[in-house]
Amino acid sequence: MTITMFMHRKRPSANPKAFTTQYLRRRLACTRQASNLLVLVVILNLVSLGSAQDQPPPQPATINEGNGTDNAEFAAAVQVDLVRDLAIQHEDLVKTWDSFARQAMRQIYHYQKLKSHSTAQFYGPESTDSPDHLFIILDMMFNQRSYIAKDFIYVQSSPLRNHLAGLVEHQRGQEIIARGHVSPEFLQSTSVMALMREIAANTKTANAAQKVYNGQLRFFENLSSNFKIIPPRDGSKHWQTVDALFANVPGLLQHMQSNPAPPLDGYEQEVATKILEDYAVLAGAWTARNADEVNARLSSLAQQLPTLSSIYPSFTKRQVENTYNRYFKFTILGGAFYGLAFVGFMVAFFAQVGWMRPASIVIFLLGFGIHTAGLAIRWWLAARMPITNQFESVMMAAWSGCLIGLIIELFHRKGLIGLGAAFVGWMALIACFSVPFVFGKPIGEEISHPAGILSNIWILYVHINMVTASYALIGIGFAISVVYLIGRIVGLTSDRLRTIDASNLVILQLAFWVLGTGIFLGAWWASISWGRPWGWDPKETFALVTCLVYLVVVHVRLVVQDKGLWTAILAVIGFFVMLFNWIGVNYFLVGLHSYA
Amino acid sequence: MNPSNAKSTQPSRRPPYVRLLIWAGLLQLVTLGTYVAIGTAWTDLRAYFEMTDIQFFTAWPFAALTLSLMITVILVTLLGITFNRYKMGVWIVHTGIVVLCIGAFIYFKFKTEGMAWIFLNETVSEYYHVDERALYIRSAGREFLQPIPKLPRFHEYDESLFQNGLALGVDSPLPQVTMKVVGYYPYAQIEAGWRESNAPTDPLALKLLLSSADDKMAPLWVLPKSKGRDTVSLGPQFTLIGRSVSDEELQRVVAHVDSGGIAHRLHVKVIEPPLEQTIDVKVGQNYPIAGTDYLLFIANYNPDWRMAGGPNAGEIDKVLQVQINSPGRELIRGVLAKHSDLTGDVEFVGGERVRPGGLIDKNIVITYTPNDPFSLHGNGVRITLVHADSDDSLHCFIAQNGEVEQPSLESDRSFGIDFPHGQLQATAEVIKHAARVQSIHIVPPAQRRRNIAESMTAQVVRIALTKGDWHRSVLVPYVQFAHLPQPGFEPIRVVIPELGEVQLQLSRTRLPLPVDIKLTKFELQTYPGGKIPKDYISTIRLTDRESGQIRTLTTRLNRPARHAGLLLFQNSWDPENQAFTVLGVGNQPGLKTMTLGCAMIVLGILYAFYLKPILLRAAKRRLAAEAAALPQNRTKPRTPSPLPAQANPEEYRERDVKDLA
Repeated sequence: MTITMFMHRKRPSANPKAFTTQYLRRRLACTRQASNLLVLVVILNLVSLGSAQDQPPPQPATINEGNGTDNAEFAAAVQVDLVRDLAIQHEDLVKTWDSFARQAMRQIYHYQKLKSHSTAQFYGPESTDSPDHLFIILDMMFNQRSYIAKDFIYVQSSPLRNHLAGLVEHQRGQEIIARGHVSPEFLQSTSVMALMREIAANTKTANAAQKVYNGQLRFFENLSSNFKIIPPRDGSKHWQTVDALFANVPGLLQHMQSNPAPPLDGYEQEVATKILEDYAVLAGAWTARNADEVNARLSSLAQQLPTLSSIYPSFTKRQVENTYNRYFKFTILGGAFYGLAFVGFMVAFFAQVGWMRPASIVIFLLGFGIHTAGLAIRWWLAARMPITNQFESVMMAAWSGCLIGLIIELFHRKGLIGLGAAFVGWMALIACFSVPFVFGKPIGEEISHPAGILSNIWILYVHINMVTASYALIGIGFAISVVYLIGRIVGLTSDRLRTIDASNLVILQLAFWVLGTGIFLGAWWASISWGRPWGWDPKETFALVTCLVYLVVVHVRLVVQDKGLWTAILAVIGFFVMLFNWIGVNYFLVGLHSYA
Repeated sequence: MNPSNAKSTQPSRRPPYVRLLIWAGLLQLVTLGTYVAIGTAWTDLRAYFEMTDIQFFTAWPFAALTLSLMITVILVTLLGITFNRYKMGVWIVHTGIVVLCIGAFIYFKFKTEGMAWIFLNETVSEYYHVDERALYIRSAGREFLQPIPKLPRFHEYDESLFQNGLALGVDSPLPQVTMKVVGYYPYAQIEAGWRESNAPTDPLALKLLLSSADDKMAPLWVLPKSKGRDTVSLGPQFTLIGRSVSDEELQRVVAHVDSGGIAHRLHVKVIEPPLEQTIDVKVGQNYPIAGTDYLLFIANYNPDWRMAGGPNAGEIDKVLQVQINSPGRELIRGVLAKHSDLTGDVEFVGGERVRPGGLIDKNIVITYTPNDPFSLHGNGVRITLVHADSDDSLHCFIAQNGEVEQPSLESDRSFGIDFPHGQLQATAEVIKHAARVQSIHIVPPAQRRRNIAESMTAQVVRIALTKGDWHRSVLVPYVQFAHLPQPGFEPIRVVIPELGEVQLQLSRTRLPLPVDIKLTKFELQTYPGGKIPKDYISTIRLTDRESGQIRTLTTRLNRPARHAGLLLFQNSWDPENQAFTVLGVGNQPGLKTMTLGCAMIVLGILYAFYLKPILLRAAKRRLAAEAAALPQNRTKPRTPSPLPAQANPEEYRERDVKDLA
């Protein structure tokens, strides 16, 4: 008992002992929840309208602390594909269970699949294959108790990992430092809570700890209250968890000793009873590791849920969403074709193989088609132009750049602009795929709602599209400039160098104009929404600096002898200034463009 | 001219002074770019000069650089570029740049921007400047505003530095009082406390020490004489109250406590079916209203409810939270004891909080009479220390869960308190005279939060006040909006001899608006079926003080309202209750000039890059046709051409494109 207990404090700095007691209470609540569900089944059988009479009596559930082999067998036997394309509302957005599970895994565990050290811990030492992410998330929800001692909460910050490692013996500490996974129990232990209090003074580690506790641990604990799978009959309302149906079955609330709540609009008792029963039996069977029962109930839910409301997303939409996610949002595939086309254009230009250019254009077109499909699907799924975060802006920029590059290439016919465009498409799509993994920070790859300031205004969309398109053009110019510099080194003829320079100039002039116009449109938007056209925000000023570099390119050609070389060098510099502005400013400088 | 050798011969066509000007312009561009990049990325440099980004980019070197670039552009255009239709694009672009720069000079010269904080149904006629700071001095019901434009921003200045010539005098509106800024701390906390003093004018204080087996807390001080009652709150779970009373009042408190726990008297009036009832209620209990479907649950009681906004802002009332359950509906109603007209409902619809600002269920009207005359009860554990003036005795009352107990104080005035989690030992002390102590805690850089550092809301100034041989130095923290009663941001009070209490606040400079703005409606729009905000809509009524014109306008994200050169845009809002909005207020001087400049640049580049080659190609074709139509021995075309007569069109094009590329 200490004094801090009754003071209102945020989690990581709270009293260790108080947390341990609270935590024990929560563990008990877990157990109670499972037994509650059993009670629910019995009551439902009493109060239901006969439809449940035909169902087999529910299996008595026991809490399964997780025998590894049983778990592995169960994981293999449960057919999560039955429910993969059902819908759920999460972060105010309706998505599929599969998308939800994917995101939940990334948030809690950081990886989409279990690493081998976790599979061994969860499913016995001999199992190596990770089960499906949807299975894991459902398991975490229905069988929460058995996860409490398992290491799966990801600690990203390495100073924090070092702090945590200091609390345990060496071997285990090294594991924490290397893998970053710890258990909820460990995070709530007295020693860790005391540590959290100690490091709370340093803003950086305190923030990292805050993220682990509030972002990951709490998300894991609240999985079931976030599992909002019951659609409202009226489209303007929020989706609900299955519990919200309690009040629709007369007499149930009292039996469940649950908080009084109004019944859900438009749900007849019969429908509610059926869903509640399926869900309760599912939960019971899940903890009892009864795969047949689980599959039967999953398939029953899969039949019922989509028929509940007219606002339920269509079957096609849900299928497309899952396909889109399964193929990494079409990044890798499109990127691969672009990469191939890039190599083709390189060979076509340097080795002067005549047929390679048209062949590369065909490959480029394939990549472009996939890229276009990826953006179109996203546009359809999000029901808005996909341009409101870093992932989307990079995708869109590359798309605009590739389209413009393709058109010019078809007229200019030198193979160089195609080369640049393929390079930009390749790099952009690979970056979109890999950056979240490499830097461990989401860049908006999952569809979400944009901030309010980004809605309502067409001029903004034109501004972003123009600026990002110019970035892609600058990227094309960079590729061509590098080709020029390589050409200088390997000693291409001056005629061929002049061809490269001419291609470069076509792109750079366009990039310069598009960027300049994009900045002016941005100023126009800012004068409307921030009340000032120019606020010396880092993004603005570095866009200006980028623009100045190309202004220098345009004018330096008037006064120097070796125009091609100057242009190529300045275009490379301009590219890096642009890159710093696009990516670096977000990480190094504070500003208003946090969403760009 | 040999086309294959154009590289080496071509630049010589331009006169040397034009080439020099171009090089000078390039150098200026590079310098400008470097200045901008450094000013943005190297924040420490700006901080070294105590400049904000706006100040850095309106400083004289930047202006001089821009001016010299303008001159170079004008000279190059006039001296080096012929005025014909082929060069028209460059002319337009260069003119556009000059126009844009002029617009920018006008803009940054006359720009002013600020914020107006408006509560629902209230009117404001002033706004707060976004950057400038001022010292607010309130004395004898009057307020004086003294801007301190030269106050630093980024670095700490302590007294010694200021004594070496940096002290900033503040014009003092108070007679014979001089004021000086003698310290500045950009990111600090004021640690205020009390100490025992000998001065007979200093007030009486009660001090409470709490300790457990393994922890000891800093003493809590209450000054019961300041308003008859003083409260210290440590989160929602623990409150300490100090009172100083006469013997008779003490008797009344004891008698009230002895009469048993509290039961507030609730008057319930139902319209349909018509019914009136009076019930005595306790917190945490259910009360069905016979003859109706209503079930009332007394959720909470708070005797220290401080009203935010409205004419009674800052006033304290006793509020009872009643949960009204009726079939298909569940409301929470906050019933106020004194201001029963302000009673309002909250409903949770699908997990969303709905708070219309009045009653949702108008069929049931509830008023109540609190039975807590000494405000002993409330949330969590409440300890009331009562000091009886006449015999210097100290009494303690501990209220929790609607029950009050009076622990017996031991000889050292210590007693035990049962908290939900265990027992604490408490020792109370009567301090005859207590004086306030202020000390500054400079937050170490590692513990600073970036957003707070950026918003400069943690800055503190030290002000030295002198009157004759009386002097005192006080620490004054910064508040964003000086007029609002914000807990924790109250003005600093100083008692000056012969003048009485003077209040000091450091805040943004307040400036008059040309209009009165009344917020008539504030609405938060969310994404369909969700809670994530999508738009904020303020409906405002403007009254122009000069013309008397009244207009009703709405501002929302990306859709500002405009009135007579004034732009009103949605800047911030009350995310909790939608009780207020913060509008950005600003003028936009030179905007049209800048827009014109931008349009010229955009169109001019298009002309120069894409229209000019088409024109040249047409000219080339025309010349070729003319050349073919002419007899071979003729050297001059009959019609005057803009192109040099002897030029072969092919070569001309080559040269000209290179020239302008």
